[in-house]
Amino acid sequence: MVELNNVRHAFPTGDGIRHITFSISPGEFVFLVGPSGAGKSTVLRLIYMDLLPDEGHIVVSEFNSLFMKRRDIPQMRRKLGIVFQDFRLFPDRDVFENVAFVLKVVGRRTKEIKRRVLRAVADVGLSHKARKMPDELSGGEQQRVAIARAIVNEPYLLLADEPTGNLDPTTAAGIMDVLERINARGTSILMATHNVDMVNRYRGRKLHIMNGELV
Amino acid sequence: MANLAYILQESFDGFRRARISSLISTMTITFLLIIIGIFALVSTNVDHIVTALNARFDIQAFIDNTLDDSQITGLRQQLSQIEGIRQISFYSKEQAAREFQKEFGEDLFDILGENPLPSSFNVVLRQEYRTPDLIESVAKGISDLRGIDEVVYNNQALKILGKYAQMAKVINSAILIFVSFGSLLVISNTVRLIIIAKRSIITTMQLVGATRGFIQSPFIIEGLVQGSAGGILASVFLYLGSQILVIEVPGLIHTSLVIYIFVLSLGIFFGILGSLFAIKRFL
Repeated sequence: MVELNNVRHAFPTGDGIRHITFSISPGEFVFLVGPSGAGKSTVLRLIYMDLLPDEGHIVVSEFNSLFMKRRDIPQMRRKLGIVFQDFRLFPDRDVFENVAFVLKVVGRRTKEIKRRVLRAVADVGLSHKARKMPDELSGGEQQRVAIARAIVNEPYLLLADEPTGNLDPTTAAGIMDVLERINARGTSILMATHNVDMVNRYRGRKLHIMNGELV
Repeated sequence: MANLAYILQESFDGFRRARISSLISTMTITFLLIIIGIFALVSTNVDHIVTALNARFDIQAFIDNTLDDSQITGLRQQLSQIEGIRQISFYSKEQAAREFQKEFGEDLFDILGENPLPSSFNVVLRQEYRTPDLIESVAKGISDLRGIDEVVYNNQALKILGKYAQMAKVINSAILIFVSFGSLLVISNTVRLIIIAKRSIITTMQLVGATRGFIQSPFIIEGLVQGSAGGILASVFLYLGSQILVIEVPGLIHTSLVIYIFVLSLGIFFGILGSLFAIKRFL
């Protein structure tokens, strides 16, 4: 269960979000839709606790934002998979190592890492490019690597912040297919996007955000 | 165990991926350690040079020309009872004349028809008596003896030497401290620039749940290895440099293992602390 309860967060500039209340059930696909600057990324950052609420609280699995300590944050993030518009791959290592990093962080054995990484890379259709470096891949392929990295540790919730924002419509559709497949296997997904037309083509709950509030 | 393997692998990969920047920080550490090592060598050798110069210090006591051999033997007896004297050598009038001829190329006897040079004792003091005050009191004791005409020694030079050696040591130590502190800042800044380049990688590592220790350990291991490499290179340079100097001017400087251990330890210390300082700001 992921739950946001009357959450408010204000930036020093005056922007921010307020009165945000929603929850995500296991296996749900939720879209957070709104124009640029509406507060979509802020909501996501609050969920992965890069920001903490000024008011209200957030629950992710057994973690509650009210009782979070600094040293708990890495533990909490291991329950999540995060995908960004700009991919954020490690430019200094290949596809396999990018995905494997997440499992090394949690201290898995080498043999298990290999097995899981190869499966995750296959899930996103990139088995033949496992030894390529990020800069040898197209944008769509890089985003698939980012998704493989996000799902390899079987997260509780996959957070995707404009995952198709940098991609052409055909490639974006390919990424959406991958996300739907992952969701069909039981992983909850919260995807932030400004693209209303695209969202309408997919099943899933839609939350609309405008000027920092759900509408 | 998986973590340890990761950290070692990651540190090694760090060198492989960033050969140039690893080389730059290793060379930075090497150069700074060489400078520090030179100051450390000077510091330890100030003492050595002063001791070497002091060892040549002696007192010349000229003997009354009217004394005969048995009286001179008696005088030597009295002299040897003065506290602080290590060695007494006797220079006869004839030896003095030969020295004079060697120095001036003229035979005094030919010119004057006689040898006016007095015989003398050359007195070497024990090490612990070679301070300006004690020298003065020993010299006084010698000149008070009946049969000694005059006592000559260069106390002034010794005083000046002692004074400047002391000053040199203080200044040198101060510079050593400043240079060491400056080195730490330079190294930390070099590592910081390297880490800034990896900033986005570090942020992403945090986002996928890597702990602080997990992220910083490879950097610290890298710092340790670079510091050790810098320490070893600097030691080799200092060793070879001092060997060349010793060939040119034998006995000029003494090096000891302590200097190299000091330089190596400082390298390791700088490497680790530099990395720690640098990464602290990003975690």
